[in-house]
Amino acid sequence: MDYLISVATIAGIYIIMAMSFYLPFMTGQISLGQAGFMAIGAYGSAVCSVKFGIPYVPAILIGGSVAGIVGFFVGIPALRIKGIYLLLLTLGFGEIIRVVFINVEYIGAAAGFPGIPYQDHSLLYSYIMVFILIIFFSRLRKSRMGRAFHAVGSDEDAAEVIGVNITSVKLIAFSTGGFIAGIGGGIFAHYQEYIEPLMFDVMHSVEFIVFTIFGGIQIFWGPMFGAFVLTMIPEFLRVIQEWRMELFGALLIIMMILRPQGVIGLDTIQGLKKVSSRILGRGLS
Amino acid sequence: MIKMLSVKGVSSGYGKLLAIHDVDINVKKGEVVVLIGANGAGKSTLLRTISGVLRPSKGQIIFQGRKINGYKPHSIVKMGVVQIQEGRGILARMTVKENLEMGAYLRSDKGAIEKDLVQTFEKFPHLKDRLSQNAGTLSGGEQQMLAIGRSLMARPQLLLMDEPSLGLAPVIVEFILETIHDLREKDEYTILLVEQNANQALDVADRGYVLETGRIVIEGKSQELRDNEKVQRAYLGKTIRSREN
Repeated sequence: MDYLISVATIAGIYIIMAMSFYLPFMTGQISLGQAGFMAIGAYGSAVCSVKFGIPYVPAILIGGSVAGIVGFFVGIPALRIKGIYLLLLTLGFGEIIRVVFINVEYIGAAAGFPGIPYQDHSLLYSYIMVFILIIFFSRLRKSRMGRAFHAVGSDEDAAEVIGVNITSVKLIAFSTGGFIAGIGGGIFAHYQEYIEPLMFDVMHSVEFIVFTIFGGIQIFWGPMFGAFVLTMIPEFLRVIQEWRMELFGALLIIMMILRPQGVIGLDTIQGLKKVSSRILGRGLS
Repeated sequence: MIKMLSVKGVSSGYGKLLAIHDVDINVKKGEVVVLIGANGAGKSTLLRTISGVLRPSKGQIIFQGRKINGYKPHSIVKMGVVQIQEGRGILARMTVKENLEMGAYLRSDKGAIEKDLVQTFEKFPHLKDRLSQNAGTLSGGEQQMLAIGRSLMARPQLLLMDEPSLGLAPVIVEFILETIHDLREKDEYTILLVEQNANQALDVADRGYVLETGRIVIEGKSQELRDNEKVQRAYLGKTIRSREN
């Protein structure tokens, strides 16, 4: 049971991380630095709890906010570049954060940061955050801001001449993505009790991208599904665990060929709606 | 007639490379004005400078008595200057309906937006049958109709159209130009049009400017441009036709 809870908690945190990648991704910004924002949230909240005795929830919110503010400043140069260059910028950012943390004695440097108060209800808190994200993303889809996100992601130049303020849209998306990653990091730190810079290396950022591409990029259920399934499967098939990056790579190639939009697409959601309304309709009659 | 737009001594381009030099043009309320010129003459650069996508390195752009150069594109759209990009600039991954709704992005008058949607479908019945289709799956002509329909959803005071006939079949080109004619006659829109199809464009325009390597070389009423020998030779293909005869 404990084992199941632990796997589910990690899956919840990874769902949060996948969503932190997905939000800027909606506006066409691909970030390889989400593990860096996660690290800022983790260390930020850990410092709050350990050094200042701030309670769990505010500590995590502070960690997330710091990551969001950093996200804002990383987002400014990100406005001017696209594609592979943005990937490199965010990759560099993530690594810089990690290297800085390795060298700061105050937070334990390379030896790591021990003694973070353990949160018994990490499972609950991580899924509260997931729930908040579900509400946020489903509201966003129907909102004006959401349409602007979609338009900027679809064609930046076209969105600009329609009258969308692409500067603010992209900055909001990028820094909110940083905030979400920071929250994920905070929950992670208080679940692990101990964090070290190595936990936030760039391969994790790559994983968050894999979750999203595998799960689906058309709708937010996609990355949620991807993160959950790809965290659970290797846990239950221990054999795969050591080969999971290889497995992820192969999965991505297969997906590109068979279903480039990811497992969950708009058609999946529409299909599910149809099926459920048919079942409900039959039940009523 | 009231002067709606005046471009005064504007030079603009990409970085240090200027594509237009000291350009002066005027558009009065209710007019259709066409910019004629070869590829690379600077027509699109001029439109994009007016819409704020590019910033002029020199000169002024006055819209309804207000200097608009230096404002960001979204503020300029809000003032009522709406551009239809070359290549139509539709949002390919969004549905036809979402595209039209995005046209009204800066408006908050929901009831009036609904009415404008209905009017758009009257103008372009084709679009109504394709509402939930992805805009990228439309034909070129339908995409251009969508682009025009979407720009009207913003209730523009001045429409900037960048080569609406680009890459379209002759029948569709005719339809698009007819639409432009109707927009001006029935709905009293003011339009600044960039076209390579000089012949047909002069049919619907009141006046025109000829751009050559970034400078205005000829300007005048449509008929005057038609009669101008140089325009005939360079843009209306008269000599080729006479040789054929």
